[in-house]
Amino acid sequence: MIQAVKVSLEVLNDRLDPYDHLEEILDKINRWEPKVNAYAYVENMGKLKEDLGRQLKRKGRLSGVIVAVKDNISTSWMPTTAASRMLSGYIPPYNATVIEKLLYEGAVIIGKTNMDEFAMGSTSENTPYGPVHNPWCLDCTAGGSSGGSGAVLAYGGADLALGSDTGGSVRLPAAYTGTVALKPTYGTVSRYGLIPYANSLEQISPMARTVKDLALLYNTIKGDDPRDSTTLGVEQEYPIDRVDPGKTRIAVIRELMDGVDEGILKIFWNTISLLESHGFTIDMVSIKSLRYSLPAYYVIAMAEASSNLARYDGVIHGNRVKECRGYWDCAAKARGEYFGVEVKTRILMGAYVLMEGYSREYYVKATKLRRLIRDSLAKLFKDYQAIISPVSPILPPKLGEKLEDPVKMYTMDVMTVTANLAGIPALVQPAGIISGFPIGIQWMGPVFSESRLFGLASIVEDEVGVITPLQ
Amino acid sequence: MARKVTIGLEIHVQITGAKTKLFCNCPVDYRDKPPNTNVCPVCMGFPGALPVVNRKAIELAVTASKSLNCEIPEWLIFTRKHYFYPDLPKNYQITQYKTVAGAPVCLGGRLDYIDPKDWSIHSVGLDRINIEEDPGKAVYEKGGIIGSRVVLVDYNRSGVGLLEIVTRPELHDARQARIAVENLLLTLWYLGITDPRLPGAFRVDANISVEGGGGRVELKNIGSLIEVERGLRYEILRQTKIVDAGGKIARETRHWDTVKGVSKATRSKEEETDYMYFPDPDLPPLRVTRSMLVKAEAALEFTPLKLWSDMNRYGIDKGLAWSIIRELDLAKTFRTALSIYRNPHLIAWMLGNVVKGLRDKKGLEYVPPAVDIAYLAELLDRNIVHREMVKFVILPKAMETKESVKRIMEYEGKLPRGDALEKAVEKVLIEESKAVNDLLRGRKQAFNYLIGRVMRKLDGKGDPREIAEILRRKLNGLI
Amino acid sequence: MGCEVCVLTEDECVILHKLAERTSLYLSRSEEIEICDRITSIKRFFSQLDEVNVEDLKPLYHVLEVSGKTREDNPEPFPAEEIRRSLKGRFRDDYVVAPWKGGYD
Repeated sequence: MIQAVKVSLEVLNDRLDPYDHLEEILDKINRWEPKVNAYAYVENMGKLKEDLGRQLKRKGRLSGVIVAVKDNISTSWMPTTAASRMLSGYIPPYNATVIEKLLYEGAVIIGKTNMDEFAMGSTSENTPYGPVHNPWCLDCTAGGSSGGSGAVLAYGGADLALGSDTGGSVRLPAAYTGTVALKPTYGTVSRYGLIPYANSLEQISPMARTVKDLALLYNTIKGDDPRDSTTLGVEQEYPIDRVDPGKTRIAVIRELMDGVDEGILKIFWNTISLLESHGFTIDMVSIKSLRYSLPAYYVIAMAEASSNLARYDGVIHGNRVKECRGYWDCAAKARGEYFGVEVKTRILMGAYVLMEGYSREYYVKATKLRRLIRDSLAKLFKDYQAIISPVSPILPPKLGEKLEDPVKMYTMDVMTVTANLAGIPALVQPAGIISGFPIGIQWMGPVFSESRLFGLASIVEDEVGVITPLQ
Repeated sequence: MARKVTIGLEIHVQITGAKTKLFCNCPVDYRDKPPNTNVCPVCMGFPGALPVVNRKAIELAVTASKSLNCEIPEWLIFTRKHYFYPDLPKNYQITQYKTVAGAPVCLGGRLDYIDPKDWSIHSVGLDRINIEEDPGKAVYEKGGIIGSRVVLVDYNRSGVGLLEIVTRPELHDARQARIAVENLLLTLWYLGITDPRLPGAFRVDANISVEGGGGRVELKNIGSLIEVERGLRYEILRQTKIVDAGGKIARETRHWDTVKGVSKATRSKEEETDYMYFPDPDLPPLRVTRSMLVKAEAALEFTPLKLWSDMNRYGIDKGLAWSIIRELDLAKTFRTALSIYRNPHLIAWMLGNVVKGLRDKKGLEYVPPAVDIAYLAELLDRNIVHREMVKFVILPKAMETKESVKRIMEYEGKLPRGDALEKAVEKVLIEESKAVNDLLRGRKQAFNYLIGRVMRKLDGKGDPREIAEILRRKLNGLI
Repeated sequence: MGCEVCVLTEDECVILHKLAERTSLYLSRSEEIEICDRITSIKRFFSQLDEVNVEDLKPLYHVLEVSGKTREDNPEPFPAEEIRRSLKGRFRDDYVVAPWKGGYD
């Protein structure tokens, strides 16, 4: 599969027919989608060709590049449902800032990818479109919540993809589908147009098959946005750094190594050996506060979710029910009818942790822990330039396996939520294959260290190569 | 029997002094627009749209807080307040709150107000001021808020900035409450924060309790100054009757029905008190900058209380002073006119007595510009016109026709017309050739002498400044 | 409703109903049973927080702790037809119709 960084160049030099390129991708979609179910919506061929013609004229760095977008990112001409029956049929009146940036650079948006409802889930199974199947193992999950975006990239159904990452939502899918993903430093990518789940934690996040492509997509979407008060007024490029192993100390954190699957550990330690052979210094350290990352994360995420989802009462936002009497009854019935059980659970628990008399021991306490975790990591980054860890303690579960007990599913995020709590960048890339499953590793660095993470990931990528599932 | 009454007020004032809504670029001026045309993804609460604070609105809020002697925090924090209501697009309102890490723009504070009955100055303590967003406007169909099947919502108003000003329960009668609100609005009007004359620019909720009654009642939906007094009178009387008859007052929310002039109990739904407050993650805390405080300080140069004490110092009759102070355009004209010609008494008389009188009696809204008022004061001082002429001829004409005072004076023959002036100057230049020569040689006093000669020719009716100008023109830059 | 089959205590059950009312969520009986179990599990999970003492720390609500943005006071009307298109079917005479005492006709 061609790299996105080459597409616009090859097209410009007449070495690649962009229409052939588009058709090749559509062929793959036709072949894989019946099995994988990664798209919630694919634009029709006629419209895509029209879009491509228009976008080629822009001669941007993404001209001719085909991009898949997670269904919770607003597009003014395509449905944007966040995989919720609450929003079926919804077409936003505006584009997300990242969409404007993609269009400006000449990209073609091919469709919207399947996901967990409102990004609440780690398996891409909580969706009215049916679960996303992992192209590597069709009865396994592709991870979540951006499972659709990961799966699409794995089988070649797009050149690049956008996901969103609230607690690992692009990194878990990347790990499970053998693709790369970056959860950027909080505030470097605009959230304007991202249907919110937990605003203080999430970022729209780039996904790709190679580190170069990832860097290209990140550099396209990042930047200050006057429409998002939480974006930072910094304008800088994030090239792929050449990392000097002699000056780079890498930390392995004991708290992120607990209960990890044998196969995953094997690949992880292989990667460590590889890095050591390159001359990196790697130490095992302990940060006790990370033990509480997971519950602290879920308390904060649910509180914010409960608030964000209040607007869906059927009046302006969200679908309406016919059989009801009075505003409050109609709102409650619409919400009862159209939200899935995971969403309802989080709304209720979110209200619980914010309730008078409880907020101190749950919500406020979680935010204090958040400070402790952020500061502990900042301190670690005085001595270490990066952290390396597994992404998930387990291999991709079978579909249906995790649905019963919510907490079992939450545990899949135990290694990823810390980056969201601390606002730091985290990159996931494939590091090998065990019994047919791609295995990912995770890099974390201090805020704004994306270039360094790209550089570190390039070293591993050069050794491991780009991996793709068998057809 | 007379019982001690305790009243606390919650006054919502729209920040109409800003051109855009609090968190988006939609115009604040929503009035007279077709429903749902003054909206955008932000103020309609579309998923993914994000609030960005209007700096001007914050500056105005800081100014209001300064003027009300508040403690202003270094960081402003916005909080989400959750309740389900059809006019609230997100089902939470972005506001400020004291606890849960909240920091309203004003804590504490004091409103000083003038009681025009005896010109005494009183104070009422403030609990806080919140900056928050206005919801949309709900129109109930047949049956009203009590019985309508559906509600029609216009979100044009949604997102307009509001100041929620909460007083301590330190007011004790309906009239006093009305006067306090009136003074407050006047101050905010002077500071360019709101225009209280715009329909819906402010709303008042009142907490009222009567000694021996037990509970306090929140009276909502009071939309004008007259209604403040009327609504409170009604509610005090209602409670007093119940208590006198040996009854107790239940803690409840009542709706003021302006048309029927009665208060009605509303559903219990509004009594839910757990609003699940937490800091809005979309809005990082905002630093109150030095430049905001400096701007606020500068605005405080012109407030009703300051003007009141200035006018008292000039010895202006208090009634006259108040009639000027109560209307912002008169007050502004007073201030400017005084800076041009320093006779506060004449200026106050013209504005507070004549202009205000014509406004009240004939509905004439136009106020002659301050330069004209200053000019008239000067003419009065120099006895070129008399008070009767100003009161019955010049100012009424000026207000009716919006003509300049000068033109009116010319028509009335009180001033030489332009050509008469020119002629007089020409004559003097011929007659006074010696003075002209002196002037050209550099004797500056000769200039004033020439002006005096022209004035004499015009029987003292000319404007010396204008004569000086014509002289300069005639002498063609030789001086 | 649902309390007898739920692992939650009576008090907790009352809280669940209060939460459902406050968040305006209609739960069917079978859903209530399911959610009861889920909530029990999540509450146990959250109780891990009891182990740690962070009383002395300040809460952190905005991770990068920078001052918020402000914007200039320049009106920039949004095209009303875009809103109208997105909300098709919700209007009557330019107003958004919401149920009050009745339903959606």
